[in-house]
Amino acid sequence: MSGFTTIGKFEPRIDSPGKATGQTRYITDLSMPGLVHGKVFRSTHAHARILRIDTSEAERMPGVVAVVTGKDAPYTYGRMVEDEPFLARDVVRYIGEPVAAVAAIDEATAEDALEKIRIEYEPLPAVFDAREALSPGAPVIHPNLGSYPKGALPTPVAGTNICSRLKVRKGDVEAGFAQSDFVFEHTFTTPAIQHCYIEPCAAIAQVDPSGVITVWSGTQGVHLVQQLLSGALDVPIDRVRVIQPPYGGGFGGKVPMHVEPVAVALALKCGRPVRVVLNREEEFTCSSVRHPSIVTIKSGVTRDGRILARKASIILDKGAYARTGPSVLRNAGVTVSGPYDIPHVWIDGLCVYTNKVPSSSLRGYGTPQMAWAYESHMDMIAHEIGMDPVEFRLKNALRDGGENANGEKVAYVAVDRCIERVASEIGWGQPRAEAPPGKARGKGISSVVKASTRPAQSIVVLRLHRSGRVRALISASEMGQGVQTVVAQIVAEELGLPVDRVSVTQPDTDYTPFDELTVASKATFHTGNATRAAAIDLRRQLLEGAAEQLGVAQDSLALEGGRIRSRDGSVSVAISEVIGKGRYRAANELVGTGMFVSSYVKPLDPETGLSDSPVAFWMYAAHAAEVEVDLETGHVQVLKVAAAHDVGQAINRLGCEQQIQGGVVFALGQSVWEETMFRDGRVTNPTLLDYKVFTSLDTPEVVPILVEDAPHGLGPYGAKGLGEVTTTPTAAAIANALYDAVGVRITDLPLTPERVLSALKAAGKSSRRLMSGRVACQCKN
Amino acid sequence: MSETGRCQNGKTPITLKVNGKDYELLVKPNETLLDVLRERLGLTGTKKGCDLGDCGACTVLLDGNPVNSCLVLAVDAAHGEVLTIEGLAENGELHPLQDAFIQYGAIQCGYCSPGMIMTLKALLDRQPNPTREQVMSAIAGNLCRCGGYHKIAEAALAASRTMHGGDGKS
Repeated sequence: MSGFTTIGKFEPRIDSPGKATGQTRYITDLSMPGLVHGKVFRSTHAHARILRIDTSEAERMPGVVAVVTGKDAPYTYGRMVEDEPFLARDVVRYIGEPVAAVAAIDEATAEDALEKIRIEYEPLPAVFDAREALSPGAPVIHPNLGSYPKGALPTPVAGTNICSRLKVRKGDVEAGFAQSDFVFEHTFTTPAIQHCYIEPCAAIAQVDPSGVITVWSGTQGVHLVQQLLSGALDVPIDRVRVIQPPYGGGFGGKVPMHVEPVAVALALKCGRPVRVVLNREEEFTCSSVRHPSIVTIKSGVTRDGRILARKASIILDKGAYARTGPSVLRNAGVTVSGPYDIPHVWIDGLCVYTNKVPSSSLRGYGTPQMAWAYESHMDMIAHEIGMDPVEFRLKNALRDGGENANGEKVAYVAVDRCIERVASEIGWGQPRAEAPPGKARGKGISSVVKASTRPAQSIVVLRLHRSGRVRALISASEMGQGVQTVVAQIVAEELGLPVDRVSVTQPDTDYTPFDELTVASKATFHTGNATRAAAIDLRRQLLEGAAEQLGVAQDSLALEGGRIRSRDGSVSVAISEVIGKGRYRAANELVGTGMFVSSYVKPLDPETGLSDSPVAFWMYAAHAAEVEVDLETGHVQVLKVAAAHDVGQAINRLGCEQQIQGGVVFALGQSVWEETMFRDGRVTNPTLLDYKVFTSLDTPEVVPILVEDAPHGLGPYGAKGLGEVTTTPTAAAIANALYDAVGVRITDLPLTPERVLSALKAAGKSSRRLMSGRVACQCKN
Repeated sequence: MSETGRCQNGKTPITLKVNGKDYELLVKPNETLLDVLRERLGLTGTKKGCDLGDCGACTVLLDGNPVNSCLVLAVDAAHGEVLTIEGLAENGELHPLQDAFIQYGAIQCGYCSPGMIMTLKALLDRQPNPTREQVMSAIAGNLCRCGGYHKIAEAALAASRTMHGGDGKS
């Protein structure tokens, strides 16, 4: 879009210089006088009663300053359901659950002391499979579930393992099936996925003599940690201060408190600042994973490819504690009908406790699991009814004025253009490139929708100094996604300043204004809107002062290059001359404030799941992929991914490209090999060697496409969110390309060589007969 | 093991040159080069991601070669010359790799960046004109979870052009 000075430009990130030079001090780089190191003693049982804990020998060790158990810190917390203890009391519910913790003068001493803790358990029956956990007679993991305090969203069922339920009922789904020419039903699964941010979770807690608790944490939400700690400890919220230094990646994994409760419990006991950092094995075994899912989808379709009805059942494996599960289920439920206009929808979702490491938010918030199911399902239907997969999607795609599964009339939708752009980029419908001998090539497509957040409030304060520099006080968390640069650009745009005149603070609940969490790709939209409002507030103040000094009308003035000029160019004054003179003669700075609340979001009706405004905004996208399948090994080599995202208006083109390329590569790992393996509730691949993420050598060409055809009426300059939905479409696009290449369909992620090879063998398409490179294919492109 | 001094209280005296400065240190037998850099010398620019040699975030140059400093015992680095991210800029001038990482958007959360940059410094020292494939191969042991490696490769190629007198633009 024209007319902007920095919005929409390729703007180098303002946080990069410190990171490129090693000067940025991350959470794990912090130290302070008196600091001691905390380590956690963890459950070795998936489900057991704690009979006795003996910490006396550990306490006597030289160098140990404190040992805590659940008796010392009998606190419980939970953002949605208050089900999670700081340290297990009476019962452990997963292998790796914190049971006790030690603080010592160094990490090695603390680790040695863990060896001295003695514990006796009485094993209890455990359940590791969500479907088994739903069956009658399954061990009940939270017998007191019915009495736990909870928020408005979760709907647990006392006496069962159901943590939350979701229902969507739109139209008459059975009538829709009856009117359809074909009805298809398929079931899909996804495994537990790891975040694998490169910096582990870390926090330092300190309690001062007056009782104020200060926590330095690599968290995605300083105000959430403040609220959860103050609630659990029953101290006034202003007596808890949370500071967020820079940290190395979040992806939703730094929403739950993986280290803060233990650090606080130890700091309360020993009176010294306590640092707790997870090691890589702890990250894999006892932080959080993506909810494993089982999704059954049934769709009724007319002969000409119109979807009339969709029924879906969703089971999310919650692991031992609720964390964000009920909200992940909600976002899964409202998106499993896809970016399609379907008149009759029936969705049942369950979030089910099991005796495994808890699941929580992980980049995509339920939508990658759903898209895997519905976009594989879409492709299977297209092939069954003999329709081109692109044409089938375009025929059913939501467009402005259409109605989604919640019964909302949608606006600002460009999913159709996303589909068209990726189809064009991948060469859809063009003759297939010749594959080398023993290999086969194919192309696949996937188009998706993701919801942003429940009602959220963001406040931003801007301090404009006489020097013409602005300090932005925000609590949105920079975790690598680029929010600080977006905020700087918005300030610069509104005040006519170069971007390098704007600096952005790290969150600190004592100084930076409220912004609960940086999740749901909400920061550009919410914090961005608040920033713009704060900058407009500052501009008004500047123009008032300048108009007085220059003796001209305010509306004849504009801000440009650090000066306030009359539009006819006749007079001008520098910012440095407006502040400190005239009406601002007694000040060295001006302060602008801005707030944005997505108050128009209305909760889903609990019985029907309907709402005419269910989310702050929707994000739409399409990915198309080309793959090459090795017929002898089953290895799926991704050759290229085209990724089109309906961003409304790019704020930082560089940031958008980073998010798209990074998100696609993140999701490619999950498409072809990432999976947390469990044996009886124990993670068996807890290293980056055994749980392999994509390396540079695995990474294909990824073409980011920014679709800016449908600016959002409420977003800053029309912007929508982007970060998470970049991971949503990828897996199904790969599986659809695999099908196009070799004609086999895999319904369980990941698409490992073992799975591909056994599917090829089952289909009688094993390597020997196909070594010529000619492959039977049921697809037209 | 390199020749080192006599043990004192189970600790071994070593000398180490880090970013051009000489240090004399008493180190424990199991102390890693990474922990010496971070905990003893305060050089926290080198990052600890896994402490198992899997992620590459702790990469430094030891006698010009990129190593996972979490896998090198400090006693084995004795008499060695170590270059960390803090020692890369010269006279306040960023190394072309650092500049290109900033300009080309190769940095997101930045936790992998010091290790990436040091690995690529070793590559450009050996191979001033690498191909894109050589760049991607060089960083195969450095994991990035935010980005897609594409912009890192672009930055490395731009830096290589700059170091040959160009302006880095392709």
